Amino acid sequence: MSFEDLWWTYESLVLSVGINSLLALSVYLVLATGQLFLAQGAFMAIGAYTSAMLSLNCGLSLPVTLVLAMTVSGLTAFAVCWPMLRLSGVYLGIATIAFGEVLRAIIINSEPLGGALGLNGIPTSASPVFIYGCVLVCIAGCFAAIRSKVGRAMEAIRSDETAAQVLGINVFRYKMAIVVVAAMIASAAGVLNAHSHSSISPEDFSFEATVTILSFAIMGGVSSPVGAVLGAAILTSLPEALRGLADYRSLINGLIIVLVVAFRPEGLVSWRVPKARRHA
Amino acid sequence: MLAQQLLNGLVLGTIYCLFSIGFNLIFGVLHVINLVYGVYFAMGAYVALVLATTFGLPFIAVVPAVVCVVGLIAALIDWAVLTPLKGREGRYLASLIITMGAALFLYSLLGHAFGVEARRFPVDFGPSALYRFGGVSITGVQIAILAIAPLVIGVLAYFLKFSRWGIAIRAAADNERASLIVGINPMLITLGVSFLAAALSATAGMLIGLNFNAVQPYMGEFMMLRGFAIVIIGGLGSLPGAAIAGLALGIMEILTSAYGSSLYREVLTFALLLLTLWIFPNGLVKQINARRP
Amino acid sequence: MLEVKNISVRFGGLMALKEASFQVRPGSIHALIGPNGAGKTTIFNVISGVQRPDAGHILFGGIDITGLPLHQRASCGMARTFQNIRLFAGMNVIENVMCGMHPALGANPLLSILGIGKGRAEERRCHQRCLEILTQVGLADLAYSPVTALSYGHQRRVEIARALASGPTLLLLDEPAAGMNPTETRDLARLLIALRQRGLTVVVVEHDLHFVMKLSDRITVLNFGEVLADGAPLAVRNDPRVIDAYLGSSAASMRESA
Repeated sequence: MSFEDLWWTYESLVLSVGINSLLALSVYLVLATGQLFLAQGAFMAIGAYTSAMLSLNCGLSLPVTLVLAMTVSGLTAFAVCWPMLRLSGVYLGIATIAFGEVLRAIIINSEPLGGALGLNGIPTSASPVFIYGCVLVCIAGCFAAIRSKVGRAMEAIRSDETAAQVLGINVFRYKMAIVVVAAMIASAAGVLNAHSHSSISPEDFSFEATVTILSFAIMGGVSSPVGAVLGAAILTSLPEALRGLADYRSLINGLIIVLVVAFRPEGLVSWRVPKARRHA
Repeated sequence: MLAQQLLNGLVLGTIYCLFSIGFNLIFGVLHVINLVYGVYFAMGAYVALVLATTFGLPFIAVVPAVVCVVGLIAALIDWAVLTPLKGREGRYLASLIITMGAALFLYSLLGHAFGVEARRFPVDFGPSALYRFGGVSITGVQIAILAIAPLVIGVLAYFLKFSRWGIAIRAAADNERASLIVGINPMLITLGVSFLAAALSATAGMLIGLNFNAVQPYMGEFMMLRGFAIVIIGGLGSLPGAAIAGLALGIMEILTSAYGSSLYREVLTFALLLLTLWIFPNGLVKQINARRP
Repeated sequence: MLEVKNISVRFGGLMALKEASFQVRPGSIHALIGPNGAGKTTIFNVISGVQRPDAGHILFGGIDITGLPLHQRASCGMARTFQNIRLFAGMNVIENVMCGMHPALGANPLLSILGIGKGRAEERRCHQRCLEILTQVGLADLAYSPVTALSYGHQRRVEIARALASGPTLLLLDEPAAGMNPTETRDLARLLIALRQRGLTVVVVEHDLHFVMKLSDRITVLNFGEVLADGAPLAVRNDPRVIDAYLGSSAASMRESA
């Protein structure tokens, strides 16, 4: 089989792995600060719809719509999460799920956004190079952040919020910043997804999508960004590799979450990234 | 017109009420958030469907059979999924994630077994009469819902209040070791609570499946999200809170869809949830603050 | 330096603190003692902001800090340790200590992430400074060990180092000698005296009366949430009310330490 044939067969898989890696990194960031923030699907939708509308109606190019969509998501995350971040654990989880459901209901009932049918004919301008460029920037950014005072603050907040505050870490500000960044990454994934599939519908951003995204990070492990990306790569390509299992995707994802949480709570990769650079 | 909508709302609210009480029973006693609970809702409807179509059982026999079958399956599943979390730190989050995975698995299992399209009950199954009182019409199924739900809740309340087992379960809700003092194996309490809660969920699912005469796997997920919102509005762990919030939201939903638009109906519960959490970050009911998740 | 004024804390029907007042002089080692449940840790929590008082005020350097958010107290020059050691298990020793220096790191977080300019210089300075602090508490060799691998006494010292990293003027230590062996306790006493010599004010909650009597300049005795006695170690030890509160074996141990 020639390279062209191979590429033709696996192009969509390769693109999906890249996009899902971005989503996994978004989940990784919030879990790394100990927050159960489950609105990845919602911010993906905000990114996808913003970018699709901009390119369909104004004819803007992908890099421009990407930046604009990420800005819109970042601002939305800031406004929406300001009151939410006082919530702890499960309450934050359900509040973010509720936000996603409200948003989806609004999209389904909105004429200009195509209602339940969604939008079609979005230019498929997301090249693999562009997608993987975004992934690399995000991974590098995560690593750089972990190895600075930001990474130490995140780990401190994750492991003991009160102790972190007593040490003078502004927990609220860090959580807010992380949530905004995570929302922006999720929306970037939404943009790239829309521009590689040409069509989007509200169903793509349901609660189930968020659970699947969560499973990437849970499977790979949240001790490092590498785990999250690896989890996304495995869970995305597994159904493809085992051809007959493509229909059983949700079944496998669900089973993997259960098995990993039950028997290997730290995920597949438990590799501790130093929280400081060596200054020898 | 208003009377008709209030009746429809009351019926929906009764279903929400059944569902939310069971969810809170699990949270209150076992201190876990069990999202598989929504699966039992769909499972109740499917088991009823199979019993009615394949075995041709009458409605009156199907109800107790559904309660027993789904209750037993639930006890088994909950045991398998929640046992590994025993004694682990951060049990709320772990339980939320693991049951989320289990629910995803079971929903798609149901989808593979029965198909994702809506299935219907046989025409002659269940009470099918239609009664009219002035301008208000009420179906036999609605009467069944209004009769069965309070009966089930009443039996549960009596059981929790007066039986030795019920007392042990309430003791365990306050203090996990208390059940040991009463001399009841905590493992049996776990299984018993799973059984009871799933019985409520399955009854609710069966009745709503019958009411709309449509059974789908993801009806459970829809209900789960809504039920989760309702119990937080009513207060996590509080059975009366869940009952009142469930009833109120059912009525409000029907009224908004009748006099507003379907969009408002979709977002009502979640908007109310966000509002509740905005004002009361730890939920409405004060008692649970001591051991909030 | 630190003034606790009429602090009351209520947990449900229980008064954990009843109008407790005392003052801590600058440059002193001040001990808080009392039987179990006397409210010692509660008062620490109130001072460090973990617990909101129902009434009363905390003055630090003459400024009322009662309503100040938790995370801003560190930048005022206050640092504390916890009774049950609360280190960050996911980080090694020096990273834990570097966390303590967080409020002193003012560079734009973006510069720190990118590791350029001011951010880079600051990270380097932070690392250097934390190594010095670890040397001071005698843990330089263990700087890169995971904290979970350390002994109990060492973990306590890491926590003290982490508290020192913010460069505090007031150090609050909650039962620092608990679970330590005699050698470790002696080292700790030496460390506290060295800190006092450098002008630091230290408030200690402690059960080990022997340790407290020898070390402290001033002692406040709490009983059932009230200040029972307050003064120099000698005066406190001979106070009949204190002896009363410590009836039985504790009273004996109190006299023993005389």
